[in-house]
Amino acid sequence: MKIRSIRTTLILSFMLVVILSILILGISSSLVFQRNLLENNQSSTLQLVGQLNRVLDGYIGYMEDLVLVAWGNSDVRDYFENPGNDQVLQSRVSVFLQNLRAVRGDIDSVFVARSPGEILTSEGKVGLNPYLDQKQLGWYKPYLKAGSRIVVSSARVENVLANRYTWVVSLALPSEDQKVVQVDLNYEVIRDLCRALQLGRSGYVYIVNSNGELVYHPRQQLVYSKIKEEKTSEVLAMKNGTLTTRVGDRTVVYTAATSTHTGWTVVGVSFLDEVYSSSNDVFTATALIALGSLLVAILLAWLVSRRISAPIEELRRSMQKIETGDFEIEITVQADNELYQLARDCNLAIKTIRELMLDNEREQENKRKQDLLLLQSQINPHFLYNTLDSIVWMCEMDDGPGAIKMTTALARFFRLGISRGSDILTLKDEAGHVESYLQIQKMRYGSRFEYSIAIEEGIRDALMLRLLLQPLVENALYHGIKPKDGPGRIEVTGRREGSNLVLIIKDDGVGMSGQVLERLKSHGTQVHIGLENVRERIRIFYGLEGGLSVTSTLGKGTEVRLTLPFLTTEVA
Amino acid sequence: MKQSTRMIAGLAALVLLAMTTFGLFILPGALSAAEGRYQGRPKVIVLLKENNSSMTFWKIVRDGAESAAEDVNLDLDIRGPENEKAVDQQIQQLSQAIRDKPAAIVLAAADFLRLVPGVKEAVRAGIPVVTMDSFIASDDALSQIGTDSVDMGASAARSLLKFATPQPEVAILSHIRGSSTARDREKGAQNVLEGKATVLPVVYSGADIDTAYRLAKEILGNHPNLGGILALNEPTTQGVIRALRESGRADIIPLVGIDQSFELLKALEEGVLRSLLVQQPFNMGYLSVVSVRHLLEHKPIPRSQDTGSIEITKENMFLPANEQRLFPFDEAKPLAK
Repeated sequence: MKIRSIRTTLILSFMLVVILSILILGISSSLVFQRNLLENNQSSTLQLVGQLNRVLDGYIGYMEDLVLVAWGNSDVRDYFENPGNDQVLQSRVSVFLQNLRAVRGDIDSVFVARSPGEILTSEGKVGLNPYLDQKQLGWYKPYLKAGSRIVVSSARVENVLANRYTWVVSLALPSEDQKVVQVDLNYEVIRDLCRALQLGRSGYVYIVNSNGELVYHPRQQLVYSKIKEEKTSEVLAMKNGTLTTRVGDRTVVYTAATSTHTGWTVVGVSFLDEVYSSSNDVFTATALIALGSLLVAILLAWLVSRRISAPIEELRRSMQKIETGDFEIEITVQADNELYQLARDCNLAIKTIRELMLDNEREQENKRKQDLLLLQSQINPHFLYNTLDSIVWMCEMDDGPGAIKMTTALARFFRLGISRGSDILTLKDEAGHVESYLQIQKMRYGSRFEYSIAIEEGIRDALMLRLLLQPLVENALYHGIKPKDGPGRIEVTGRREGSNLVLIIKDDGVGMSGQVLERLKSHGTQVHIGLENVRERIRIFYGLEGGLSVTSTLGKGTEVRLTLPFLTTEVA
Repeated sequence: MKQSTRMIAGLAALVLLAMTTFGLFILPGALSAAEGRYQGRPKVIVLLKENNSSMTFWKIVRDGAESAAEDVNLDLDIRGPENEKAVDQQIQQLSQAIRDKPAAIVLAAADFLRLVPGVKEAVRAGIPVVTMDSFIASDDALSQIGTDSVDMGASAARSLLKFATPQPEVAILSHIRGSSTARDREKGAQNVLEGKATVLPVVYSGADIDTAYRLAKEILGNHPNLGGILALNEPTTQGVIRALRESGRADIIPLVGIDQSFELLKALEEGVLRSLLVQQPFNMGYLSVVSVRHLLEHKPIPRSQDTGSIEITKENMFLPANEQRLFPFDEAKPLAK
């Protein structure tokens, strides 16, 4: 398993959270922002374009009224209907045309044409262009359409007057016999109206008539030279609405509104990159905030992790020392959180371990001491001398069977008594061991005492700590029976009481006073070293106190009772 | 420990707050300001052959250049000598332009050879140069934007042959001897006329109306069988128109001119001038400035861009596409404001 430090994990997760949230927030907000921008832009452009269209409609409508007024003027009608060369009438018409022109500054000129060569103008002094083809107003012919009486031109250069080329938009009302009233509008008016509308940094408005001719375009010449491209046919097919399309290397939003009155389509051209330019600002700002938050997140993660991982690192170093066996250290952790408590708990645990280890050492020491004592008691030289003396004596007395019996008993005593590495043996063997001892002593002391060993049936294979009975029996013999006048008796019984194995060594010796017994119970004396040895070994081996109890009555005898756990196999 | 942690956390919060404020309120403004300052409007010097706006041609070139400057976001500084013959003045103006350290220079060279050292100096100074209308005898200029003069001369000659009787005697009145346009227009015309007409020795008006008038009058007097005249630039054409009108032989001697002016258009309507080959000065000015923008953005631009020439006759002069070329309204006027 790859181990990643808490600090790295914290920093990475902080960063992940910050990046994800900022990313989601940034992208969604800038998408929403862009959509809003586009919608706002489209609706406002549509409004502007529609407005321009209405202004133009009103304007052209007003001029159409002027054309109708001219057509209805009685002098003009007279001029149309009487073909003669009436100079007075002609000058009256000219004055009327001049007055009509003077109505508004944005009218360039007004013409009335009766037949080729017969054109009256509002510009009386200027005169007609001497080189005019056929001397007639012919421009409107391609524009004639069924249903509409007044014809509106696109932008054109008026060349009817001598030495003058002016950009105009012309309105003409022709009759079937080619009598014409024509008003020329100063083109600058329309141009200025269109120029006043700017869409974004480089967006603009242009106007196209129903034939696809440009009425106004800020870069008209470039369009005619095909240096600049407009998707005019698509826009005309749409008439009204919005079209987003790619032109050259930019995405263009066309917004069109078509007038039913003039047939002109006003087209707003805006560029998507400019529409979105403020959303780029938002995007940059978001990115910067994200960067800042990221830095702060890293800083915070670093700080937080320092508060956690530094104490942990300290703890880990202490633990490593403990692993090498140094239990003497005290863990000191610089922290003001749970880790401080953890360190404190660790210290407590270490202290407990330390104490347990000391206990353990003491017990081992004790056990060694007890074993040594036991061994010493086993090979008690007095017992051995005495027994060997007895055997020698029996031999001298030619008591062969007695000597054999005693020697056999001594051999069995040592065979069972000397450990073969195991602390545990069967109750049968333990009983055999104590019986050998009692046999030997019985032979030595003769009638001074009697003994019996009674082990309940079925528990002879029970397991127990070895050499518990012999020291107690020895005590009973030397301290109970021997000081007594007259014969005594030692009874050893073994039985099972529930989950306990109960062994009782009972004598009818001198007994002990309560005082002596108390002293015995509280502290082992040098005299009763055997009793203390047994008690201590039981405590260490079985881990229980009170496995040995002594009851005694002065002059009546003593009973030592061992209560041990009943064990049948070594593992149990 | 505890205190310092709290202090650092507070500091972090403060930094975050500051950054948020910066990002939301200050940055957009700063960015748009930076946009204006850095990528915004680099200065480009346009050095014309003449800059006193008397000639319609250069006025339209200026309109085109200014329109483009607005479209591609450049600052234009348009300069030029008093008249087309002031080569020394233009050479001086070029070195002044280099000293002014613009982002690029657009040059309409007054002389094919004499402007070469100046352009080389500009290139050494790290200022890219494109040439417009009239070029130089060096490929130091990164692009040539203008009319293919050979082609234009040929078109003019072809147009003249349409109006003339077969195998006419043709006079060619050119403008400035040694100028690249004069040389190329003559060459184009001669190529077409060779074998189809008898061409008189070329004479030079020095781009002066009166000289042209005098030369034309002389030729008209000396050549009673003259069957056609080619005038290779605007003032020359004007001078010839005057002479031809006075001679009363406009009906039988077709005249084809080059370049445009009000007078020339009137003559076209009048019929003294049969046709006119016009350049597209608006497109020339426009494309050269757009090319500069492309240069500044390290986009590739063609070494040579022909803006083409168009034959104008009395019949087609009022077609919408030509009206705009011949009677341009002031397109460069700012769109809004």
